[in-house]
Amino acid sequence: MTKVFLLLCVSLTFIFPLKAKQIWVKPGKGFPIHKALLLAEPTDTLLISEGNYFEKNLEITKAVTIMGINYPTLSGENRYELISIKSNEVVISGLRLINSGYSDLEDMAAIRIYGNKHVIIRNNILLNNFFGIYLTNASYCLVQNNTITGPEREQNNVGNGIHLWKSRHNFLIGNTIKKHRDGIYFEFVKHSLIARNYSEQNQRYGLHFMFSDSDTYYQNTFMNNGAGVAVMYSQHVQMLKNHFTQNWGSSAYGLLLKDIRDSKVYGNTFFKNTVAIFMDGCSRSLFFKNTFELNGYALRMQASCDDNVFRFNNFLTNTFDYATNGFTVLNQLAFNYWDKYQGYDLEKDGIGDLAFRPMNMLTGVIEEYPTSIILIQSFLSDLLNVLEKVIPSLTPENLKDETPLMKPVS
Amino acid sequence: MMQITKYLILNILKSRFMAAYALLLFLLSSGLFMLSNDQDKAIIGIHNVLLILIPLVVMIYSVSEIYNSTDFIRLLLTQPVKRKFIFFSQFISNTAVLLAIQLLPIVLSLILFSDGSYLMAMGSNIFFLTLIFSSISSFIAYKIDEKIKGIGMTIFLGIFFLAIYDGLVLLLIQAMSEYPIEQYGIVLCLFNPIDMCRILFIFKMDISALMGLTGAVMQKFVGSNLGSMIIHIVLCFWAIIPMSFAAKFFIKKDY
Repeated sequence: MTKVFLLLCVSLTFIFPLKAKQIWVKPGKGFPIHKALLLAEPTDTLLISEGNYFEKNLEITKAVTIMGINYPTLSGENRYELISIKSNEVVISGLRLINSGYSDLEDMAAIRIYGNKHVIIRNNILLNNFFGIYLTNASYCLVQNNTITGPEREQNNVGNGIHLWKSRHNFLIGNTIKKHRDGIYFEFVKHSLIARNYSEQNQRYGLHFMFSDSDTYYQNTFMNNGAGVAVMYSQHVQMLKNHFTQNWGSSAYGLLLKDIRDSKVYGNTFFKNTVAIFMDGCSRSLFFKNTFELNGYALRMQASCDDNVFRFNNFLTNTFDYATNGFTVLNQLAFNYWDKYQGYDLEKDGIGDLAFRPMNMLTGVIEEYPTSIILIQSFLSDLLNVLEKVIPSLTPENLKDETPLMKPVS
Repeated sequence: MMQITKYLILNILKSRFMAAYALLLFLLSSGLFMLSNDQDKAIIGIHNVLLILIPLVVMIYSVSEIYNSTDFIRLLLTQPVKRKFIFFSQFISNTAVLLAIQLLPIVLSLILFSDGSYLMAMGSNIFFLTLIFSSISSFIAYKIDEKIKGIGMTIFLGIFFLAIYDGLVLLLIQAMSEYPIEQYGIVLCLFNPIDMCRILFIFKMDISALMGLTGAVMQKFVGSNLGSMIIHIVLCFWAIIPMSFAAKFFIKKDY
């Protein structure tokens, strides 16, 4: 019986196929895309041909697919928000969106989603917009392979590349964001996946999120941003295999963690940052298999951090490996590789027999009296470091890796 | 004067010590480049070694050179040559040879193993350090007659500028830590040529971003035209003042 029913269904779909129209739109007078949108019904596809379009604000209230052929250009003429999505199941792809309006009162974006679900934004080029892609109260949306480049303006006239506010279950994959204020900005965003994005030369943070729990960041690259990456007031965050590179400057951090709990930082690479990880008020987080190379400070931990575990990390050629401003040590360091370790391994089990103290005398003195950093790289500081190794007095007694590895973790 | 300088230079170059020293410097800097996987780290290492080596070697070598050539100077003084000329020919010959011996191997290894971006900064630091410590040592050598005392004094001065002075600075910073002393850090460095060269180099290497508020304040000073001019003028003073005192002592000295 069921077989007959199935056969009936299949044959019915051949007799009455779902009618989804294709509407071709060509550049011309008036507002060609607006007209096409009026004609369109849900599930229809608007194919936009190559050319320039001046549509003012395009409000999409039907579940349509808008697909650009050879990147047609939509301009906001520095006055309008380009595309406002106010329907579920909209697909926007292959468009070139330039020059959105900018104002102090409204957050105008190239593409903004107003509280909808299942929207896909894919393969677009965004240039010189105030905000790039803006999701408010959106869920189950996919933002993929967009190239977003900000305008050459001062910081207060530039918005964020991808901005999410109060959204859940979204996917941000493979986007390239440059020259915005924050590359990716999250506020109250939960259960989202951010993978393989590339965020470079943003004026403030490459990635900035607050109150955004249970998000996963995977294989992203944050490079040469004004202040690196800042992560605040969140829990259950997973940061896996990201690259934090060349965030250099007096107030730049590779990764700034403020009030983060129960998170995992695993397999990331920190290369040439002023401070690779700066931690304040973080607890119960795991830091495994990260590589810190050529940073000014590898770890800078305020005394307010507790119960964090650092294992199997590589510390290579950093100026300072570890700095903290307190004497109580509440975090666990074990099985890390430190290139400054000078101990030996008699049993040949790959674990050094002597404990390694990652904080040297000069770091301790600097934490206490910041002006004494003028003695950096001086003969005296080398002398003091040797002394401190023999008789620790200015650095926390318990701050040590009891089981340092002899070879880097691969 | 040129004649005397020429003979003195040839005489110094005859010694095997100079060749050995040049070779050592070259091997050391090239070795650091080969061992270290990062060019900047190697350059910092070389510079740190030079900051320790140059003051000590220059001072001890030129002081003992001056003491050793006492007989030769006595002989010269019997001739109708102005004392000023004798002084300058000795000073110039010592300084020029040391400068050449130190500059050549370092510059060579920098050209061979790095992209040459720190050539100027390194060269100017070697130049100033050699000049300053050569003039300080001639000051000591003409002021103090006994050889042992003079060499002891130079060793003490070298260690003083290398470590003791910095220790005193550290104590001062600790004592004054309640006050906003960020901008005075640089003033403290002006009284020590080694510190000045170190600071100049640090700000070339972009380490200043690590240095927080102090670094920002100092970057503002060292980075500005006026600031770097002041530092270089003070460095020149460090060379000229001991030298002019040394000249005075030499002219009045009773051989």
